Amino acid sequence: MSRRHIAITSVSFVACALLGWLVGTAAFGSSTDQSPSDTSPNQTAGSEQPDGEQVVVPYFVDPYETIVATTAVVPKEAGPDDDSFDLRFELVPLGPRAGFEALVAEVGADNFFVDDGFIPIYLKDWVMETPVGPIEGSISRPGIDVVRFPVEQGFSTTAVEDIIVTRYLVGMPLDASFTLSVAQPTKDLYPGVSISLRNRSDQDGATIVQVEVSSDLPLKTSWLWIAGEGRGWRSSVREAEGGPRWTLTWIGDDLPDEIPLSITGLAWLDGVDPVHVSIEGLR
Amino acid sequence: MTNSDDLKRLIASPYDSPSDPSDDSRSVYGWMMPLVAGIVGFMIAIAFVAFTSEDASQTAPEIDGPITSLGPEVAVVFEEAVGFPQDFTPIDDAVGVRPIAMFDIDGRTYVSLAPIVSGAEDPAAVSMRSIADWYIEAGGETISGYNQTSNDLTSGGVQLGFDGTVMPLGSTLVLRQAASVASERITLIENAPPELLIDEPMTVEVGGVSIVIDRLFYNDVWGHVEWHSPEGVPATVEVIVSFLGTEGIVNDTDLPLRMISFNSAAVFFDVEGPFEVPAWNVVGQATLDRHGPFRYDESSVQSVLVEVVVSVATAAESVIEIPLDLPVDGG
Repeated sequence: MSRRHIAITSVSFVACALLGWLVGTAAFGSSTDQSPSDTSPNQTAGSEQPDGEQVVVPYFVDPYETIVATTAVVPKEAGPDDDSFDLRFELVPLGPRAGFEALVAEVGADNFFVDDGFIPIYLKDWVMETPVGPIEGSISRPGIDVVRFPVEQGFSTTAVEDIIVTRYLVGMPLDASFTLSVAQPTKDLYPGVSISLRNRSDQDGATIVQVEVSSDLPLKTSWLWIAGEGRGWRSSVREAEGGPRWTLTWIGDDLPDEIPLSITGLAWLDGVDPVHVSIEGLR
Repeated sequence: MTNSDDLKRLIASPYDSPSDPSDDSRSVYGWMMPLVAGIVGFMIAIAFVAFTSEDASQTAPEIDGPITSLGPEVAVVFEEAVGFPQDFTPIDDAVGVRPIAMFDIDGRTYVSLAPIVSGAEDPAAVSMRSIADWYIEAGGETISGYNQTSNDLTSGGVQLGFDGTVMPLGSTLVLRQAASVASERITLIENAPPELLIDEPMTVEVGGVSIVIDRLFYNDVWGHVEWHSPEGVPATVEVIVSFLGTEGIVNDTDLPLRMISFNSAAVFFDVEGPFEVPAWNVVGQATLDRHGPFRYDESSVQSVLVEVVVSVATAAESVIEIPLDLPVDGG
């Protein structure tokens, strides 16, 4: 090979390599303008932000928390366990104590509707997105801090693309008035909860009324109280075994056909939008 | 060039291979080697760029949840929050609220507010302040507030009741925080009979606000009270009827037999019962339940004391407006 051919071959190599670098950069993007110092492990792709911008993400408990109503959901463990993929999380309430500060200061806050350790959030239904499709999980009652997704043996955490809470409920205070009658014995009070007139017994000088609360959600009867409204009500007694039934006594012969009642305590109310729970902090 | 070379060139056939490898202008060396070198260079460059690009994407994994789509050039810095999450409206320096549900029961609308404590504060050290004034503006109309309730099960959650049905489209929830709460325990009757029906209004004043007790009935088994605020000021009203002289009959309690309205009055005396945090209302009624000794000798009753505990809130000057864009669930 002559010197001339060596020169031509070299020029060809360099020129085509340069062309290849340009084409490759256009096709795959360049990493040469991204220094390690501005490569946060929390960055994501697909920016609409100006180059070089710094975004501050505030957090209350943990950088990878999700705020659901008044509670921070903080993933603690995530991984396969035999035939399920388990996500264990912690619920941290961020709401204040109940108000009425003047009364609280005088008598202390320990005597109200109390359920020690109760956190008023119920993350009921979940979906885990994977390359082979969505996998559903659910939690049977409030207070459970793990959700299990059924998976095949060999499932890896790296296959988890997204985890979404598709239905959650928030425990909120309830104080509402309503009526029941023999003609209309059942009423939907709020989503998931209805109340029924089971019996009305008009006796000489008194009327005994029995009502029952039913719900498709886990509901402790100690969270609710049914009372009568009006000057004739003498008592309201919850079923001794803790069942969701109350017996009320009206003194007199003048209880209206539309029986005035009230319900107080806790209501589980549906959250509006699904929420994403990140496990990136555990990878 | 020699004569011999001239002769070879003269007799050479066009099909003969070139005899001089240095004369390769028309050989494989003439065009194949630069072409191959170019292709190799191009492929190496492409592979290098692709490899470095993939490597970079592995150091910047995608995450879901609280962080949305950011660019590879955007640095995300996590910092402890000092304010409130998005969608929460501050109602004071320490607490922000967000409406999370609306529902109707029997022609009344209820709005549930979820409160959250500022990141700069400790939630355990912050109490939800009462809301002194609340109403909804919708389509040029005002739907007045009816009641407000809270309890310790719900992390400071508040339910606001409104006297009418509200279509949330374009409506605004208007709040004014309580600047102060005045609570007073007032003696209504000092030496009352053991059974009484008062069917004439009695007015008491607390914090400059009048509260009218419209009707009061009690005996030693139960009772009932009705009241209202003529100025429409939300208040809590509790009635306690004490049968003095019955203390110490059961166990070693110093508490006398009492008829106490259902709500918070019971907590003032640390007696058992279905307690709840008092609800703010502009009008109210309550049954008086029996607390204390189940059996007692009537002759032990020395006197009967009728008291009322009234709390009223003074509204702050600042007005908080929160758009309502929630679906309403029918009750």
